[in-house]
Amino acid sequence: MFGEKVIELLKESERNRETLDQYNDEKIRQIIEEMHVLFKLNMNDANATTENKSLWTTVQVRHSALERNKRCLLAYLYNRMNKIKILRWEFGSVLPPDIRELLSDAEYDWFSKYSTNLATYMRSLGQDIGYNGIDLTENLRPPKSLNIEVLCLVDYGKLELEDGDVIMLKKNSTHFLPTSECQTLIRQGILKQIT
Amino acid sequence: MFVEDIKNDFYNTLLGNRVLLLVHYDVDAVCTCKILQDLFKCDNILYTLVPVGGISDLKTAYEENNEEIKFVVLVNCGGTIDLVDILQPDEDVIFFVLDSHKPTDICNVYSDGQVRLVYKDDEENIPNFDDIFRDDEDEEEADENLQGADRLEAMVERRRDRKAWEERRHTLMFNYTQFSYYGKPSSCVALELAVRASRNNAAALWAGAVGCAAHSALYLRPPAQCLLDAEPLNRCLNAQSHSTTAHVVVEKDAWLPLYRWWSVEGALSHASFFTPKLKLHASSGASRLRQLLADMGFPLQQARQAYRSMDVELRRCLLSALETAAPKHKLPIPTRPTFLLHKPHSPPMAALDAVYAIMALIEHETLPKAVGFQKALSALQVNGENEPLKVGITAARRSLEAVARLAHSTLSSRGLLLAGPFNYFIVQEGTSEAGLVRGPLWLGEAARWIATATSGARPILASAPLPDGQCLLLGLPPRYDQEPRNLFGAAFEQAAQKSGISVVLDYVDTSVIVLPTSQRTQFLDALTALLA
Amino acid sequence: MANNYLSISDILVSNEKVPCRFLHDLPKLGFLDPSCTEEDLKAGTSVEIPLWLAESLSSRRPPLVAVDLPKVYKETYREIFNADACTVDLHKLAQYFFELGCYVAKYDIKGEVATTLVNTFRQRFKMILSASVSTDSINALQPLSSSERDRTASAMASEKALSTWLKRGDSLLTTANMVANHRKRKRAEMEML
Repeated sequence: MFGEKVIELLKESERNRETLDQYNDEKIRQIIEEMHVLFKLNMNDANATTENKSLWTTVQVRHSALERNKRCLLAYLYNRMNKIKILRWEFGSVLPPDIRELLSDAEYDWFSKYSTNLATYMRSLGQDIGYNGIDLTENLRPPKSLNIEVLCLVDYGKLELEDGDVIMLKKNSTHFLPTSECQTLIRQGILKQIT
Repeated sequence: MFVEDIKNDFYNTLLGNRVLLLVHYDVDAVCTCKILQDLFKCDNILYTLVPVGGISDLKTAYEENNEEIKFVVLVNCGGTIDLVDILQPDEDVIFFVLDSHKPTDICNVYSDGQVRLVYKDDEENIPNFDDIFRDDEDEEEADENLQGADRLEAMVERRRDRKAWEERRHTLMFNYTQFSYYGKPSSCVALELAVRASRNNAAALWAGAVGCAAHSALYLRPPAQCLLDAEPLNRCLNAQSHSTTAHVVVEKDAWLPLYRWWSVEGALSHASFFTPKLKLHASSGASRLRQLLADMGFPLQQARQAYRSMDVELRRCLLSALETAAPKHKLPIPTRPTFLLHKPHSPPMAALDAVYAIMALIEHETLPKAVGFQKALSALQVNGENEPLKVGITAARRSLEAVARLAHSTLSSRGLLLAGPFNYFIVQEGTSEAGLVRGPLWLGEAARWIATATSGARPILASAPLPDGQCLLLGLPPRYDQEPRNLFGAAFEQAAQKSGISVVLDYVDTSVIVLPTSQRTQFLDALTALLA
Repeated sequence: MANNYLSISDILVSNEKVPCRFLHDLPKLGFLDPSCTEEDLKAGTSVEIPLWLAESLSSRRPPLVAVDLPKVYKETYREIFNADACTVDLHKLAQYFFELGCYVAKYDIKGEVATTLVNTFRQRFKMILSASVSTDSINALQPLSSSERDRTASAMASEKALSTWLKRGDSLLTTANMVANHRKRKRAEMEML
């Protein structure tokens, strides 16, 4: 049957809707190969239609399959792109190595460009009113207090605060820190806010 | 050096600075920490909080976090050791010590400002400065201008003088350090600070009440002292406006652990100061308990079901029934004034229950200590749903049951062994109790239980297995319920020196030590020889 | 549906099989009918083919296939749905009941499929909405179709968001979604090892 491999690919990605999977190089290569074969068969049969009119129908079926495969592959890439966009907002501009290796080279290029674009845009914000840029990834929820209490979930190491103080973030230590300093770390799952 | 004014000299110094808060794993410390945290939050004092289990923990915690830190607050740890010597801090670092462990190390007392003790206990007989510190160099110089025989004489004179002084110093120091004991709960001191800062809200009062209850439930202080300690707390309670939100009150209540979350029978058979007198471990124990319930007028069916769903009439007369029935069986009266937290639309919560819940969270069977500590802190919150507290109460019930099982089996199978001047018992490795009764808090509870069951005239040692072939050894003084001064701290130290066994004296409470299980018998022998 | 071109769920819907009858001979495509042994597919054979293929072939001039209704949209099942849609196990019966229904409704000239779909949706939506208020009743629901599950999840999420908002007015900062999920997955993988 046509287009079965590509469906496997999509089902895999649909199963893990909340996470990004490894870019499936091997399967995509196979699918493209399948498309090449279909295309070649169609070329031959299309040339032969002058003798055998009924071959037209076959050509049409194959052509539908080709279009179907194309659509599925595009959808696969498009969905990954959306997830990669989220990665930039949630993990920040530097991806942890285990996430980085899930992306193909082209995807990583795209990520870098998107990241640069976003950074340029954020820098340009508010210049007319005297700010040099606004970090849009901060304060996704309105901050309610200047400082918050956070629990450290992993051995992170040293964190330098804006005022130059250095704080050692060790697992299970509690800190009372300025909200602005912790937000990114909370979103990255290194700190956890406690009441 | 002692802080004169707790607000100006302690709290106001911290304002605007980053503070390192090192807190010991015990109930009073958790309560203190809660009060301080709330204060710090109000004044935007940035802090880093690290719970510490012992002296080595304290050292690593300080070394890891001391960068850019100029102020360190120690809660229930560090007072009994020479901080400057052990932590080797930079000169401009200041330590504030709020420690209810006593006696306070003499170097901390006479530190010239680097170590500041937040609270001065009048009960402590701290030796005078001149009696323990002496500057010899000045005297040498003063003698230079003397000649010949005069000089010789002066030297002999001085030596004799010095020897006498040294002997005197030794006696003084010996008297000062021979007993380890507890002072006023740190949470009461912290509460006073909150009052001075006009922030004595319900949360602070509740934390203070739980801290107070901890000292009396764990018999860390003589009963009379406990009452005196709670005096400032009572004053605050009176001043408290009777609001419709959460508030703390003093009421007469049954001094039975967790009975609101248990059944009456369950609570009666798991109270360490009360149940041992029923001798439940003996074959006649069960019938004695039934007799008591009958005298109270409680049908067994009612006494066995959850207190929450018990007959309302019975719930109402529980206190009076206990008071009339207990003396008939020559039992202590299990009611006394206690702190209760009243919350709208929920049953009252006794400070005693919170004490046990926090204990169970800190020394939880499965939770790592540091996680338990965080949960214990949030169990103290007074508003809203309190999930950690429920976890703690469930765990406390399990631990209390384990303590009771352990005590019963020890008593009925002659597990309590005699060794010269003291009795001792050992929690066997691999038993179901060993998992729950493994920290000093619950082991202490078991030791008190057994001491009460055996009239408590003799000191008791308790030992529980730890991983890696180590074991915990804990000493309970005789008549612990009246005079909780503990001589085992000094005794352990000496016995360790004499026997040459590698004992780990890491706990802040010196009457708790860790040693290799294989050398336990040897150590106990050395201790017997020492105390005999 | 042009705007669904990149939607994975729409692709999965169009992968569902529908029964079709071929109106023309198809040389070399015998493999489309698993029971066929010859190389060519003869006109008149009935085969179940994916919806996407059926759609594209039937829309050609002249159409290559005649599309029939899948059995869940036939008279017998329609009666069940119209009687009480809430008792049907859609998870087993038709994962993409509503979406597939939207595609095939046009092959039903009488328009009864469309009415059944609307009816079924109305009944089941009411059930999901009332169940999503509490977590206990969610588990008591009949297994749901895939889009219903998504709908339930978002209903519960918004219910939860509403109640936290009502309670506190603000909420704690939390770990970002994908970060948390990646970490969870990593932990699960570690445990597997």
